[in-house]
Parts: sequence; structure tokens; C-alpha cells
Amino acid sequence: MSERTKTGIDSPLVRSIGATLSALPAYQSTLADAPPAYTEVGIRHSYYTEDSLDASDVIFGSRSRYDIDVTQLWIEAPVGGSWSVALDVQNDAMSGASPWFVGVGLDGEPGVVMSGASIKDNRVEVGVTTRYFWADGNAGLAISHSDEDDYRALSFAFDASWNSDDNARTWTASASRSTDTVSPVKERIPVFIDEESLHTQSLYFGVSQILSRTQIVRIGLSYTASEGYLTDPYKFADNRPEDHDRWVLSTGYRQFFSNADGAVQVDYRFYSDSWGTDSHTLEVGWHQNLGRHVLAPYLRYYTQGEADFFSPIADREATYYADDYRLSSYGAFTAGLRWTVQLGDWQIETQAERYQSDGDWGLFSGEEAPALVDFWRATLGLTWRFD
Amino acid sequence: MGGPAQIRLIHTPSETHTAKNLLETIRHRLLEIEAKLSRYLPDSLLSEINRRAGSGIHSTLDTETRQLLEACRTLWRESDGLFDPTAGVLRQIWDFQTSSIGDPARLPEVLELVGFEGVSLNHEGVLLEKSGMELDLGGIGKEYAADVAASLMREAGFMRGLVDLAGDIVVLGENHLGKPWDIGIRDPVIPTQSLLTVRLENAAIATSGGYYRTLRHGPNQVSHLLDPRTGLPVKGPSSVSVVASHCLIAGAVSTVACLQPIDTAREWLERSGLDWLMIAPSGDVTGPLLERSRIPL
Repeated sequence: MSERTKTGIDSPLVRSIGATLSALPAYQSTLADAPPAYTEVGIRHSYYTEDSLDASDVIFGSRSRYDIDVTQLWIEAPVGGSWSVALDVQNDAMSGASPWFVGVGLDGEPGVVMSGASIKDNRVEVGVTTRYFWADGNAGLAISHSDEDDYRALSFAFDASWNSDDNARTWTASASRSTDTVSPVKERIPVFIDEESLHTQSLYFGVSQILSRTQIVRIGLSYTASEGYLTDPYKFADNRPEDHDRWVLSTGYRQFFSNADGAVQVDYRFYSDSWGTDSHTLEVGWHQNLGRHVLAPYLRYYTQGEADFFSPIADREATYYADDYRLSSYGAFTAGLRWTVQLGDWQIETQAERYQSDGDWGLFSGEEAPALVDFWRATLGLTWRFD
Repeated sequence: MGGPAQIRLIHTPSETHTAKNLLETIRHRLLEIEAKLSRYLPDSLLSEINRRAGSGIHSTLDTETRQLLEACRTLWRESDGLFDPTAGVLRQIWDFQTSSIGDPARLPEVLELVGFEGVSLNHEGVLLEKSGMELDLGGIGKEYAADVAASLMREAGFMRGLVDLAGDIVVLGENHLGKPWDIGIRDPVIPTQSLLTVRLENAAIATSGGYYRTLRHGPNQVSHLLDPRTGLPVKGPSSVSVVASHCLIAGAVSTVACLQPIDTAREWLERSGLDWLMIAPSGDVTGPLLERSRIPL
């Protein structure tokens, strides 16, 4: 057997050259673990707006639901020949009303009582990630803090990836821990706690395999455990267990077609948790290169079963109960389009998607919640690279 | 590309038609690269860039050319100016094709046109800021073409083969005997013979050396390798061979090594973390590649 060829990946010199070449197809599998060759600064703004409820679904309160403006800023830069540092700042400005509880309307059907006057809330999250690159992989450590009127969270995460000798296989592992404090605002609607906390731990392990120069497949498994206060304090009829375990199996496949200068993307995800909810997600997309532009339409189908303690009108005599539509059985379709254009050192990205859900579209049996959400989301982003 | 080229594909009988089509594809692609990057072709992008030197007008770049120029800039910085694609104008003083030496008094004037800091590379494209400046990508062009050829072979599913563009070599997998490829390193003293043979698999090798082209200046034989910072021929290794995952990287590292005295060349090669072989003017052969080499019978 011949000796493995040294790639010089331990050498900042060779990594520096390779990072510059990495945009060219002839070099894309070689030095994937070099720090970025450039400093990158970006800003992205998303607007999310939920459709108003049908009048027939509302017993009392506003039919309007949530609008959220999300602004993200980030900067990522190489440090020396082996490190990179990234700073992420995100601001979410939320306004609107959400379902408070589900009652029985005059027509005898479940209907939503909304949370009253429009809520305005602002969340700021700041995160720092530092990453180290070596011959066969890289590892990152991230710390983030999130703050809003009624919720604070502090998170730590560690991730690492390793490449096989032929760079055709990459293993990835990560672990994270978050401590959250809930202190609901009492002016809006009656709440019954002052301050509670919850802790979340998560583990992930995955592997991706290059099947050929045009095909790549990946599979991953994650486990997340939360304990503490998991009930929604702004829901009148909501009392959830203090433990919540979640498992997710995710797979993905990408194939590039040189004749079309485009690539197909297929992703599947299976979710199961200790509250009795299972879900499937299937997404299919196409990435079409058009000179400096990339156009990427996608379609996603989601279906979930209801949690064990969910019912459209909560049974408050039970130990655990919830009428939150997010724990109900339903199916949903998302159709979206992403467009990216590269202008020298600048990249412009826009995305629009439409999400619609319905109790009849699900594969699992269960009772439909009256407040399933439909929404639009639009995003505009700008990225600048420089050295 | 100014030298002999060979591409070998190892394939099954049922793949013959596909292999022939692939060779044709590779040939077209290499001609495309040459048409774009050759300074000898008046219609090439490189020739257009050179004609616009000093005009203030940027030439628009495609992604491939931009990334190659960015790589040149990185190499120029990392080598403290030894790797410099603007040094081609020095042939006005040292013309190795006609074996003649121009007016040495013009050297300072010509040196004013050398220096990659005079290349403006931004979102508008590329511009050579002074009239008379020239870009010459001969230092990476063949090596890049070899990498592209190898990449096309892998994309088409051919995992065993060899690309040899005038001595810039990429080998894929094993040879037709199921063994690593034997690549000869030329003897600088007798260039028609191999001094030793290196066994390679899934690797690239490039060799630089002053023995390729020389001219006589009085009693001395002068190497074609010129220090861009002084404009003068260097007295460095006779030959340096470097093995890397890609030919462009191997070629760039070996070229810069040959532009330095032997001691600093050795430091540069060790800094690269790659396997290398150095042949000194004395005939001494050193480097980690010796362990994978054998003397041909």
C-alpha cells in the first residue's frame, strides 16, 4: 500500500493557498477544513406574518396573529492559520396576538380565545463561536445569550468533525447545554408563575459520504432532553410534563447534474418524543446555476401526530393537558424560492416561502386544533467578503 | 501549453467509448484554459489584460481566472514576493528563448514594472496599474490544467489514470498493474535520464529547476529562474520536486523553493508540510521523498 499523500493541511501556508482555490471545482474536496480565506460580514432581514384566523374559529379576541421581524448580523474572520471567530447578533421584534385557550363556541365547535390586545416583544440574541482547524477536521465552541422581556437563555455548544483519509467521509458530533429562565409578563393576560427555569441538553452524531464527484449523502441522529418548566405560561389550559425527550433521525442526498448545471436536494427527517408526538418531514429542492445567479425552488411536506395529553379543548382534570395547536395532529406544505446572486465580493440573497397547514393533510390520526397557523416569510440578505 | 502532454485512463473494455469521449472533453477543456491564460495567444484574456496595462480600464474576470489570480496573490504574499506573475518582463534583460542578454543598465527601469502590488484585483476585475506591466501565469497554468484534467477524470468515475503535462503530473489510483505509479525525477546534469523514481498513488508531483533553460554569460551558465525582487538569476537548488494533493500547490511550492538559496529553500519546503526532494548543484539529494524513491536500474 502506498503512503498517504501529505496534503500539507497542517501548514498555514498550504491551507492559505487551498482556501483561495476552494471556489474552483478542481479543488473542492481537498482542503475543506481550512479556515475561511476571507472575512465575511453579513446582514439578513426576515419578515414573518401569520394569516388571520377565520372568524368562525374565533370565540373572542383579535383575528390577527403574529408578525415577526428578524434582523441578523454576523461577522466571521480567520485568525492566524488555524482559527476562525464568528460573532452573531439577532434581533426579533414580535407583535400580535396568540391563542390563549380553546373553548366551545356558540355553534358547539371548538374556537379560540385570543390573548387580547396586541403584544409587542423584542428578543436579542448574541453568540460567539470560535473554531479550530487541523489536518483532518475542525472543532468549534459556541456561547450564546438570548434576552427578552419574559425569557432569558444561556447556551454552550461544542461541535467537531473529522474527515477520512480520502476526504470522502466526514463524521460530525456535537453537544450543547442551555439554561433558560421564564419570567412571564403579567400585564397581558393572567399568568400563574413568577419565575421558572428549564435545562436542555442535546447530543448529535452524523456522517456524510461523498459517493462520487457529483453525489453526497448524509445521515444524523440527535437526542435532546429538557427538564424543568415546560408549560406555556401564556396558555390558560396548559400543564405539561417536566421532562421532554426528543429523538431526530435526519438524512439528506445531493446530486449535481453537469449537463443541467444544477443539483437536486432531498432531505428527510423523522422525529419522535416522550410526549407521544412523531413527525415526518420531506423536503425536495433544486439548485439551478445561471451564471452569477442561483435559483433554488423547494417544496416541503410536514406531518405530525398529537401529543398524548393534547385535546382541542383541554381536559383540565387530567394530570397533563394542553390545547396548543403546535401539539396537535396535522399536515403542512411549504413552497419556497431562494435566489442568490454573486457580484464580485458581494452576495445578495432573497427568499420567499408560503406555509399552509390543515388537520386533513396529516398522516396521523387525531383531532384537529382550530388555530393551525398559515404564514408567509420573506428574507433579504447581503454578504460582503474581503481580506 | 508548450510541451508534450499525455493522459492515461485505465478502464474496462466496456468503458472504452466513454473513455474516448472523456479524453476529448479534457482536450477541449485544456485548450479552453490555454486560450484564456496564454500570453502567447493575442486573443487570450491574459493578452487583453496585458494590453490594458496602465490604461485605468479593468478587465472583467470569470470566476476561474479571478480565483487563480487570488491564488497568485496569496502565493506572492506567502513567499515574500518570490512568486510573482509580473516578473515576465525581466525577459527584456534575460531572454532565455533567444539565449541573449539585453542592456543590464535597463534593469532598474524594468524592475519598476515588476511587483504584484501593481495588480489591482477587485469587484470590477483586474488592472495592471503601470503601462508596460505584464501578467504571466506560466508559473501555475500547466499545473492548474493538470488538476482540472484529473478532476474531470474523477467526476466521470475514472479513479485510475495519469495526467502528465510537460512534467507536471497527477496520478489517480494505481497503474494498470495494480501498483503505485513510478514517476521519474529528471537528472539535472543529464536531463534525458531519470536520477531516481518516486512511487505515487492519488497524488500530484511538480518539479522546478534551473537546468530547464539556461544561457551562457561569459564563463557562467545562468539559470532561467530570476528573483523578481532583484531581477537577477538565483543560485539555488538544481531541482526541487514536491508532492501534494494537487499539482498547482506542488508546482508553486517547488518554484518558490528554487528561487532561494538552499538553506532557506529547505526551510520553505519544511514549512509547506509536504514531501519534497531537493537536488543541490553539488549533486546531493535530500528530502523526505527519498524514502519513497528508488534508483532506476
